[in-house]
Amino acid sequence: MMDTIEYRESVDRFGRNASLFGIITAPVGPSKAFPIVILGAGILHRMGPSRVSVHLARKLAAAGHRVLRFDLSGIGDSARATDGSLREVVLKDIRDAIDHILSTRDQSSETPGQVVLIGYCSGADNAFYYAVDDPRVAAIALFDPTIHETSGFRRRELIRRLTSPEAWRNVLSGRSLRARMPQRAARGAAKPPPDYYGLLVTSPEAADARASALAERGTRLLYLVSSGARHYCNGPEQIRESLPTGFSPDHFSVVWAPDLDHLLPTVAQQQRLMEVLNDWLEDCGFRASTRKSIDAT
Amino acid sequence: MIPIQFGRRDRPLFGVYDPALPPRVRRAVLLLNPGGWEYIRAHRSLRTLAHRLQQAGCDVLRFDYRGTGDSWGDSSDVESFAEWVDDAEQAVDELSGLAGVSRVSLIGLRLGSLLASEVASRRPRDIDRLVIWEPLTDEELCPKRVQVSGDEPALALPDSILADLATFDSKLPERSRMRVLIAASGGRGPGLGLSASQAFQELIVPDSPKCWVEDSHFGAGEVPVELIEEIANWCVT
Repeated sequence: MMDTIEYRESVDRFGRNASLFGIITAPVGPSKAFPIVILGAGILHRMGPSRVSVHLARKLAAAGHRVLRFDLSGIGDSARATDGSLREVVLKDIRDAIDHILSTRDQSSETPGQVVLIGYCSGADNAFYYAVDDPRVAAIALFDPTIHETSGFRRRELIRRLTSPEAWRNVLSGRSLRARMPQRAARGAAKPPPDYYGLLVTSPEAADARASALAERGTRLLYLVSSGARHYCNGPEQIRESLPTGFSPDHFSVVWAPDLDHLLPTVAQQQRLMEVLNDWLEDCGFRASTRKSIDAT
Repeated sequence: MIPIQFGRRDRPLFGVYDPALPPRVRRAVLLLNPGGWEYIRAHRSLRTLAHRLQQAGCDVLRFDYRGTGDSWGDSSDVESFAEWVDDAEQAVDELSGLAGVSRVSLIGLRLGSLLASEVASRRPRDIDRLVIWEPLTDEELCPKRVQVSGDEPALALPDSILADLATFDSKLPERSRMRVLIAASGGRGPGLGLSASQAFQELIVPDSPKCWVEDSHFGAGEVPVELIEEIANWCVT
């Protein structure tokens, strides 16, 4: 239960023609930590799945960060934009959001002119795609981003199926074959995916090149992978495998969290997310450590 | 569109106020959302309805109950359904002041329709119209059917609200001159504990592909445009 408010919130219209709608959650006192921009998932508005963006913004603000969560153009309460393709609009929106949180900071504060991006799901893909071209992005935390399929993924999947009694039961009973028939029949009619919101996904080669560029620039990356990614990522090593030249152990961290649900539906799961982010932000130096003071008390 | 905060200063409620576009019809409409996951899915529909009403000359307010959306608090801060009704009453007062009108229309979607009917029964003189939009069925009102087991849910309705819903029975004053509309798509009938003597109009829009297709659909979520149009028209006539 919340007894006292440890943050203050301001609602803003910003961006091209003040068409974007966002909320900055800030500490009650001066902020000395890196500002954070939360990039939401798909067509969900700024609240995020299970209201996680609200909870996260308030907890991060209580820990010293100014946090902006906002609606992409045409989502939530932001006006629809017509100044480019969907991809161009998303990139402009993120740039406007970073401009906004940096331009509204208290000039007397010690916060740097850089930001941390936190992205969920398609918001993570947006963050990864965008960050390369903007040196103001010091770090990105990616929750269930796209992780490309690798030979390691296929090998682990094969081993899993070969050692699964349930898989053998399905094969021997013919159930497996029956389930695959419609899939095989429809293969010829496969259509390219529509240009949904936030699908700023690149080819495996381009993703690797982007990762290399980010590492070279010193940008820190956190991959947080939940059970929601199990259909396309079956081990923490897949991230390194999918970025053969770009993965930098010095800059990239991987947290494998199959105990977390993609939608973070419980308070406990959201607290776990917060703990992971807190540790990472402190380890990267984006906020003064609070662990010593906690240990001392 | 004007974002506002109202209510107690240490426990602000977040709202979005859409002032009427000319010509004004001097009607103010409060939208009451369905809460929980349904609110996330319905946000775009509520925004679309708000803009449609605004264009029709109405002042419109939509807001988040305590412990939800962008308002103060967590679900653990909500102790009873009555607190959300209190919030809705505060929103009625806020909207009356912003729009300069003495009476307000209520549109409640799903769980919001329970709040709307409860506010209408508490303050019949302040409410001129009531829209019950896609009301909850009796099965949905049963807490056992929607309760989440295990860890404390971050978004599902708090247990305190679920317990209250099980005994919910809102009755509008029998001699009220309030106009009531029950609006539903796909043939859903009214399942709300409204007083049997309360006269109401019923609007059923059958599910059809057209029902969900906007003039300028661009992949940001589906909206029941036909039903929204019908509700907006009913509110201003």
